[in-house]
Amino acid sequence: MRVWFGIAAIAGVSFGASYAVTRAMSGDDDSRTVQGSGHPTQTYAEQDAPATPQIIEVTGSEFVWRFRYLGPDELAGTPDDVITEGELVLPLGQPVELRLTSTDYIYTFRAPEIGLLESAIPALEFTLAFTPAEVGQFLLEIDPHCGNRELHDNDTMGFISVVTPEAYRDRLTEAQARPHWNSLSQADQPIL
Amino acid sequence: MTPARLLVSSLFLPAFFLSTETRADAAGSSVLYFPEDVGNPAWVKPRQEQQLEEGKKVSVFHNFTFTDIQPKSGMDFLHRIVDDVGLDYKAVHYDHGNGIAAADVNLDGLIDIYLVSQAGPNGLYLNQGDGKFADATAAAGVALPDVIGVTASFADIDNDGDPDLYVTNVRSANRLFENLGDGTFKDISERSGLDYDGHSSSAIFFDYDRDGLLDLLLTEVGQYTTEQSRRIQGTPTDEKLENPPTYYVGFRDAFAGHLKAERERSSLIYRNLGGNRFSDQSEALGFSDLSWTGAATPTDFNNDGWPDLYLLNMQGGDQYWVNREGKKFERMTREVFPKTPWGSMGVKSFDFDNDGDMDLLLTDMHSDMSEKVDVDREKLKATWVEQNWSATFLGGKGKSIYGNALFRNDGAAGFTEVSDSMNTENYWPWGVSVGDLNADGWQDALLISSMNYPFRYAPNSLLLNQQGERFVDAEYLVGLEPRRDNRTAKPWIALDCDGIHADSKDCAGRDSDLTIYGALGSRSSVMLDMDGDGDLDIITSELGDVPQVLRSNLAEQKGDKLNYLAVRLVGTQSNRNALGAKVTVHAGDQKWVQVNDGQSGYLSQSILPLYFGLGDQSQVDRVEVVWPNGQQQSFDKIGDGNRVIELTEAAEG
Repeated sequence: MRVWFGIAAIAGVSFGASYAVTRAMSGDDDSRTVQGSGHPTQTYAEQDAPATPQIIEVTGSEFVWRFRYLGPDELAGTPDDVITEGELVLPLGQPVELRLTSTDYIYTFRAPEIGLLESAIPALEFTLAFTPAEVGQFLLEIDPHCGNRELHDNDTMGFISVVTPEAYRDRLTEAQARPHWNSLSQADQPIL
Repeated sequence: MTPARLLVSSLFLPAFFLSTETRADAAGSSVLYFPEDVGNPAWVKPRQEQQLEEGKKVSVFHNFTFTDIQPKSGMDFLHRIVDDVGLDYKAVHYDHGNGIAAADVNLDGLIDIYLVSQAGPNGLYLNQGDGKFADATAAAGVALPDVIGVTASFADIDNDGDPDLYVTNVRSANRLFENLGDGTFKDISERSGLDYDGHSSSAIFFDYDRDGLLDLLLTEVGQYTTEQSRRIQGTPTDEKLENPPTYYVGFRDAFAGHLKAERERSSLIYRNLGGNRFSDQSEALGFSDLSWTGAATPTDFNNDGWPDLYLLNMQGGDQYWVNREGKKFERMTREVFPKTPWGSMGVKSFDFDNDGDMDLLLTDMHSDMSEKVDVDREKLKATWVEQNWSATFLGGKGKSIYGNALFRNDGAAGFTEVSDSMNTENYWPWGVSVGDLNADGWQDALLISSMNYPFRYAPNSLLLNQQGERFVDAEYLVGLEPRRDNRTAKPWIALDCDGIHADSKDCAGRDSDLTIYGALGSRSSVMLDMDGDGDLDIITSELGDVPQVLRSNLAEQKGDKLNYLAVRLVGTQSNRNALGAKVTVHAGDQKWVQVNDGQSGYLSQSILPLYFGLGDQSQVDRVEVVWPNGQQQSFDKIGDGNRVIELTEAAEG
């Protein structure tokens, strides 16, 4: 049975910080196979995902990733959602399902260190399902689609933090006091 | 702007804006160059020097120069942009720019030029000889100042001996103009049935049923605009239009259109019914192609005498349609071309290796948009595309070429992709103009390339054909680059940072007028002998700027060693322009083959004589023509070259 830790929250993000990557890895994004130098192969594979993954809506908006962790009711936009921006916190060893979309531009959700690659496009939803297999922080590199990078010339759009289940619970609990995404204007809501 | 967005914007201010010291222009406005070096790229001089050094080692003739004579040419046409590629920049198909077409519209023996603007009036310039042109737009009635233009094609649709004009537009009816024989035109759009209203791109006239009347393939990109319209402000230093047109604002996710079925549109095939009337026969012909197509070319790769079609897809795989004797078109893409470029923009079919069959050169722009590419990687395939873009976006992996393709026609063995070994890869290419610029008997290729704001400057690529063995980079060797006065940028955006643009990210930390300079960039080109001196000159279409009028001094440099033959075809049983004719020139033990397809450069179709460089041959033995209706005809004892000859189709086969 999946354990749910959170209530609505936004985790703070400091884009000026440098992020230590626990382990350098390169991957084949089709199979979600992630292989680290000197380490046994680890798999972020769909077949590894149990039937009840943690569902997280991932929305690109104005060159920021927003993350909505669906609560126990597995419905979006309800009070048990947890909301973060910039940092996607994931539990080690527990299956997750990312549902990607965008409110405006074309984005690519791209964490090359762990072989994650999928598009986020307004009015469409694409899915990434995997089980985080390694604790660490992994950059979400900004998508260089057709000029937008030139105007928003950061190298990253945030990062993924894979933490232990205990830390995952603590992180989401810690975020409880933050404002809820639902309080933002309609224009900021994802189009689905 | 909501407080949340203000926060986000400040977090994501480009480092450039935070660190760049601004300058001031004569009017006291702050001036900002974006990217910072766009006004004087540091890589230009080393690159020029490197190419000049490498030029010492190559055998291909390059001892000639192009000079941009635009300021003295009378061709004062100014291309104007919509604000989606300027003030309100976003990644949308408007940045693909516009075409340029050429034909002798007033039948005085000199080739005239029609330039299409995105916003504001198009321009018709009559050739006065000696590199001079006169603006005849208003008198000819082809300005179209109120529409958002794309490109133009010249073709004699009524076989009366003068070139008619078809202009494609965005979200307003395409226009067909009948040439009245004196260089003036009559708008017959509505009556003709060609007044399609959508997101049209290039218009390819060809005779698919070989009935002697030119039919039309109208390429359709797909819906890349919203229902929101806006009046155009344009670039800051351009003379303001009295009544600037409105345009439909592009989708912010326009380049994901291929994933959204509701935005797809099929290109169309119209049959010429005679009497200047056309009928959409796409369905009857079994032709339905939802590719995001900006350009296409007729071909006859299967040599059955019926013109087939190669359609480009700028967001996926290209499509090859085989013509079944004018009754059906059958999609045969993967049987013939297992892999094609992912982001195809330009195409030209020509015989680069002089083996007598038609090869195919394709340019891939969109694969080059997947990552910032430094100057030293421009000649590489974009092998990183699949690491940057998802399989979802690409429509699968391992299915495409990520870069230009040169398909060498190996006859029964099919096509072999040889772009890398032939050195035809380049960066940010739009389309291709092909011609024998050095008249050595091997056709060269100009790949019009570059982007504008907010990208860096990039040069057009000229590839001189070294005897079919390799193409040699030559844009600096022959003076196409650097541009006149070393121009690389112009004022692109003006902001009132103390007023209506105070919330703009670009105004952060500023409280005065701000002028942002962006890169110059070409979009299309045409090769023609504009001054009648026997060599091929080049005129370009620029985005947001005046054209380049590039006069060649090859004739002067070669003197009496210049050998060429220009062939003008007159169809009688076939279409008057003889579009689709195959011409073989024999001189001594050499022969050269060209197909008269009218494809003159990115997006555009022109009526031009076929130009054959003859190398060392000054005498031509004979010219063989396979006319579009299949009739073969030999013209013997041509004799002296260095002239334009007119060949007329025999009355009976």
